[in-house]
Amino acid sequence: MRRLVLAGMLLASIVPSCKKSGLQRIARETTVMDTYLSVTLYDAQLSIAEGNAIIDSVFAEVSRVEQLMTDYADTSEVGKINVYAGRDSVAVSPELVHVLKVAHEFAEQSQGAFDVTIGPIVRAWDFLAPVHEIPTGGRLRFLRRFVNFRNVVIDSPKVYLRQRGMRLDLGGIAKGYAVDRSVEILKRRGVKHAIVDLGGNLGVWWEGTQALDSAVAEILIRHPRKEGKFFGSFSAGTSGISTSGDYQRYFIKDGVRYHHIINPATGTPANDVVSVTIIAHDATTADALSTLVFVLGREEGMAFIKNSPGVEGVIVWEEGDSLRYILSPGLEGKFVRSND
Amino acid sequence: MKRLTMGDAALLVVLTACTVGSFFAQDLFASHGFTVLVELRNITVYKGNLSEERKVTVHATYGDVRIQIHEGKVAVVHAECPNKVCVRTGWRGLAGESIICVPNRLVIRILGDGATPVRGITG
Amino acid sequence: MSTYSPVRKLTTIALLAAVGIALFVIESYIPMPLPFLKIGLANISSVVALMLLGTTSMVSVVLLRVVVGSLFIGTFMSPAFLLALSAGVASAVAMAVVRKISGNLFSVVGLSLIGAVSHSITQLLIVRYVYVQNASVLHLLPLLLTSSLVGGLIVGYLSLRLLSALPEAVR
Repeated sequence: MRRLVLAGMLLASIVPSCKKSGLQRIARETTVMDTYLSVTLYDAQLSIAEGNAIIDSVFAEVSRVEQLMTDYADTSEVGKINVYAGRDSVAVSPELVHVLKVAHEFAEQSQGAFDVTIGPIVRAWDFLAPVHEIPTGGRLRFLRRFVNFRNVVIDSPKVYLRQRGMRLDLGGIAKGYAVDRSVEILKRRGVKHAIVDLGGNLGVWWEGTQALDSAVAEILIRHPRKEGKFFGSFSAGTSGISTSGDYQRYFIKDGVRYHHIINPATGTPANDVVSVTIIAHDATTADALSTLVFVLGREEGMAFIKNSPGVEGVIVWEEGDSLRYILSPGLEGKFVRSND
Repeated sequence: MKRLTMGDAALLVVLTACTVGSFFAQDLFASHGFTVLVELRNITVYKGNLSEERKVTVHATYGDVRIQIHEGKVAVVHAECPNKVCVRTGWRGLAGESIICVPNRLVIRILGDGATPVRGITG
Repeated sequence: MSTYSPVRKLTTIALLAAVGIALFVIESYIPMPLPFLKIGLANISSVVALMLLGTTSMVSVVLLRVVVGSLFIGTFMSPAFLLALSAGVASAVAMAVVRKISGNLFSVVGLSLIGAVSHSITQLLIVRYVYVQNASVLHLLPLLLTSSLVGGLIVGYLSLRLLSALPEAVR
């Protein structure tokens, strides 16, 4: 009898402990690429030590991508390409060539609405400066002559900017790429479920799931006008998700909002919409397309989403004091608008 | 002393009941709400409950950062970093949300409890 | 108890402490699914000390066992040691108090159960309020209670057998 009781209690101790550990999460954050990086692992099999070691290697990987692709250091590969603009080609790593080719593809498809040669104009606006100045029309007209993705010559492994004064700025794609690299590391290290968040660029990795077919992670979209609130939500499986919004980096001067998403065609902030969220197979695509669609505006932007296989999105714009939105067909019935 | 007593049997029954009960009473000590974690240069400098009213001052690279926890939300109420993105972030109160000051390398994180869903925030 | 001369008492304490240390070291080699789950075999020495020699001797046995045992497995002055020390003393005191006030209500099995449960609860409270300062460790309570229930029964049963096996003169 006593043995029976013992056996029963041993069993009782094992069963609930399994259920409990299914919820286990290991999460850490750091600051990198001028924003925050948060990595959350949902994996019952991982010990805290293993989880932390894996997160450390993700942190290291994102730093590595930053050192490769920042344009704020002349020593990075992107920095070197910029320094040698109009003078010489620079041999770079295969992964930078890959990212530049992806960027070129999106630039072609959108006829320049997405353009990584936007550097000189972004510099002129300088949204990170403590004092904000609006560049004059003449200055922007002058700088626009240096913005043209067709003047980036990619002859792997060499990259050449045709004109002196040109500047690459991978701000619209590098974070997405870093998220994809992070997810790659998580897969390689055997993690089965995780979310990587690099400044709102999400990489959801849930083994055996696909972007919208499965509801594993609740994705909340920030409210473009109400701090701390959410505009809406949808469920996603393994995917890359990114949002471009005019509320992320901006200043207001004389009642006008100047934000960081610049239309390469005008050199001024794109102003048709206020927020674009893209969900795609990978975060690089989501990152680039959220900017691209924002610049194209609601009609052309939605057409672009519909023409891109595996890409879905939410476009939000302002009408008077209220916000309106449209969904791509794949998000119909899945997106839930939050109560303001 | 040599034999098991009625007292032993009663004690065993009571303790077994408590043990079994404790598995079901998890919620009693679980959902005391969320935890606020403040990390400066990757080192935890404060950890506390989001439901407690509190003011925390952190001595960071760019002067003092004043953090306030109020009515289940947290915000940076004062900072001397160049852009004050952290102050502009405003109040945050959802598990998984965070406030970040890049120049100070300061991260304020809201940790959920076991019942927090798998969640990502974009935008 | 009264039959014990001071020298005999001292030798018995030393003997029981040595047995406790041996059991402690042996148990540290038994793999367990989680590090804090233990049968607590070493508690046999405390239970037997309580029955043979009384409260103060039991506390001596516990202190000796924890200090010397931690020196053996290399955790002296570590958090694990401080936890074992405080939890060991607390469970010893709990057993002594219960035995004093309840008379013959419980056998060694009951006492050992009380010792094991108070050991676990003390550990948990110290981790909760001293080391982690986070309520989430209370999630461990069910597991710890289960393990102390099982451990307490095993220890109590073995102590009972041991005490019955001792020749009448020793008891």
